[in-house]
Amino acid sequence: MPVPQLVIDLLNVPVPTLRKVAARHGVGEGISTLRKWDLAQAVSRIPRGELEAEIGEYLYAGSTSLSWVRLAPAGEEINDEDPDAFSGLRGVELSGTDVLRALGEHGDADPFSETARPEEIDETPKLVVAREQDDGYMLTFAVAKRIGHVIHNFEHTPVFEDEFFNALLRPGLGSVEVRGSASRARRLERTWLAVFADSLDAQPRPVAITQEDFHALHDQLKGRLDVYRGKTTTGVTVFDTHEFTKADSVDDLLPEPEFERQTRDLEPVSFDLLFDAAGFGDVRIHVSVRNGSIFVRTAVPDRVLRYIYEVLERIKSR
Amino acid sequence: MSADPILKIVEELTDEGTDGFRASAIARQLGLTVEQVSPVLLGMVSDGRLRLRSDVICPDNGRTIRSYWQGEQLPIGKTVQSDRCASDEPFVVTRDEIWITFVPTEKFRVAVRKRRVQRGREERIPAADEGEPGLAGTTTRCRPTSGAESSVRMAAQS
Repeated sequence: MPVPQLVIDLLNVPVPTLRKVAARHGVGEGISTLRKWDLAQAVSRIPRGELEAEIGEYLYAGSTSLSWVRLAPAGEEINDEDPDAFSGLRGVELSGTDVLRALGEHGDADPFSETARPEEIDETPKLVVAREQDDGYMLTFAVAKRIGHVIHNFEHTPVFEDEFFNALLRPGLGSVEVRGSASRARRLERTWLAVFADSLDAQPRPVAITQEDFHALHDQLKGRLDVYRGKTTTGVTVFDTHEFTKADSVDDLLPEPEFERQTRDLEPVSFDLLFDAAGFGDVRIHVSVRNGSIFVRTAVPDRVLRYIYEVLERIKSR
Repeated sequence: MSADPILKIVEELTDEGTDGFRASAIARQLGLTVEQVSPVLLGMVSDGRLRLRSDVICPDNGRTIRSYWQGEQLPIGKTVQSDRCASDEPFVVTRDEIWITFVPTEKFRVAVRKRRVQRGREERIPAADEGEPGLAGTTTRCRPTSGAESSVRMAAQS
């Protein structure tokens, strides 16, 4: 039996929030012991309109990785060796009419219908549903993810699951915010997004997050560096990578002279930053300068993801 | 960009037994950019002092998965999976996952070693002006001098 899209969206919501909603609406038995899947099933009996009002901020958010893709003009020459070519977050402004036309062309079915679904989910991301938002379109994609293999009737059989992820297309800014793992973002960029952008006379370009961007994020988010991972560059040590985690007695690793000394000869791979998102509380983000992604480890509502985007956008626009 | 300071650091790293270094390691020590030091390092590749090695690294944790020598086909565009990565999920190798590393050739290592041995011998030459047996690390650090320089020094000592 097909799983309703609402159940799929509800899997983004943190378990405690699902429990609260279920209790408030009196759906589900033994709520405190239900697992996420069962909770999502129970809560999905509440009409979407009501859920949107109560926990809508989590439906397309939660704990997720963020990567950005810029839609550059189709004719723009891009020098792959030039780091500046990947620094900008804004692309070419797209008209709403063109975007709607292109969405219609590149969805396997009506992109705005939850019930009309792609015929088959394979390893190429498929657009499942599009939803209009204030600043663009929230696109939900599905991709087949191999989770293992089994032996059945003495035959080797790979096992796949459908993995769903969202991408916020901001036509006015010519950018796409992929809310899924960095590898999903890269695959989307190479496949669906490349074709979609082409029909809008644009080309997708990944947005890099540099070490300088990280330092600016640290300052602007008033963050504290908690974990640092770097790779050796001199080749005179027995170690390949190093990870440093903050002692409890220290508030922030970044300004510490000892941290500077220890990491001087390393090339950064990732940073875990803690910051206080106004009105939400402590948030942990994992900034990967290798992947160009920000993994929001804390399950957060949409407004926190948007806040991170706004800060990064400010940094990139300077 | 003068090659001398770069060469000096490459020799130091070679002497310390580097397994392969990044251009950024040199750039950082000299306060330069990677773009400034790379041409000099590539020149050293051309003249046989260094070899290029491409390391495929895991995009999530930076660990080296496999290394390829210059001339070997890189797995760009291929799907790779490694238990060295934080996640089991395969990834497609792009240029971003390739780290270029410079590795001293055996010939260059030998040359650097010879120079060090030679320096060491010179450091052990007794310091005549102080009238004591030679001590490594004293002010008598010598380098091969031209005849003119030697005669100037001898004149000054007499």
